[in-house]
Amino acid sequence: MREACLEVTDLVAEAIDGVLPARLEAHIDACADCRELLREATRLSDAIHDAGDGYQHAHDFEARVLAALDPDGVEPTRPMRRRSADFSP
Amino acid sequence: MASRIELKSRWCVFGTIMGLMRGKGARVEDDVEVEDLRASSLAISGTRVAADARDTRIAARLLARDAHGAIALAAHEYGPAIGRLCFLLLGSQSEADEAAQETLIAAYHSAHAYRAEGTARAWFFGIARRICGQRVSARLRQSRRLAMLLDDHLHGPDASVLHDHAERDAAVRVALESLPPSDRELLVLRYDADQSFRDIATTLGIDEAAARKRVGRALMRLRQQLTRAS
Repeated sequence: MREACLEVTDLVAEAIDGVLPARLEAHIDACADCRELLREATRLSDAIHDAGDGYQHAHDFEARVLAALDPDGVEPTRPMRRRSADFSP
Repeated sequence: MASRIELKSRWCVFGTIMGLMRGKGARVEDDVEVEDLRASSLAISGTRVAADARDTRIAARLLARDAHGAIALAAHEYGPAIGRLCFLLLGSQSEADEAAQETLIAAYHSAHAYRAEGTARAWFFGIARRICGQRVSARLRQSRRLAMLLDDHLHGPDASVLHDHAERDAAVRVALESLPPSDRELLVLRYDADQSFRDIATTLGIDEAAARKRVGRALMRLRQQLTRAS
């Protein structure tokens, strides 16, 4: 793998946003491997978003949150006491 | 400030990538397409302005110590996005539902500590990330105990059916779960929650350039996971 290819791999997040540095543009035009890499990376970034589509937001979510807040409507003045994170028996 | 020529050049690179995504494999150098992309960008900018206004209202309530009002608004505006984030971090609908609710309740009790460092949205996502992290850690401890009793093997979905959208989503979720939690967080915050690199950097306590680099590397590791699975 050439040095420019490694640079493209390192800057793949910028490339997906369409802000690839100009110095790498010529390389992308010439390198089929890097074009394929960017194509896959862009599809993958979309796929990550699509993967969340399986989530179904509960219709009563807001109501449950509000019901769980302080029922007296008193604003909190200090942090909630931390529960023990100890899972040992 | 970037010149018009530089901007057009950037749009062409973006167009190239979009063209590649559509499988054309050719550069988009046509002025009409560049203008279309510019129009899409303006539409996105409009959406962002509305989102910024909502964020400002929530941040103002947090800063005014109106915790109840801020959380009520955040539950409405950010509830679904927080749920999605938790779903992708935890891989379970029921756990995501609980974690999203827990996030808003934890935010209510931490509202006094809000300092407006980054967007309010990023602050809520940071809390969700920590809550999901605690749940994943607890689950790991539990699975280690179970592993002592059971000899179970988990298999990813068959890569030959990745063409199917639902199967692809499932494969991506499995691949995300197989990544280190830090990689998973970076990818989900950036590409599902649409957090800016600046917000991700603030959430993780790193600089923006490092956030970009880490997201890129995490994406490459996800690609390797999916390649390996196939």
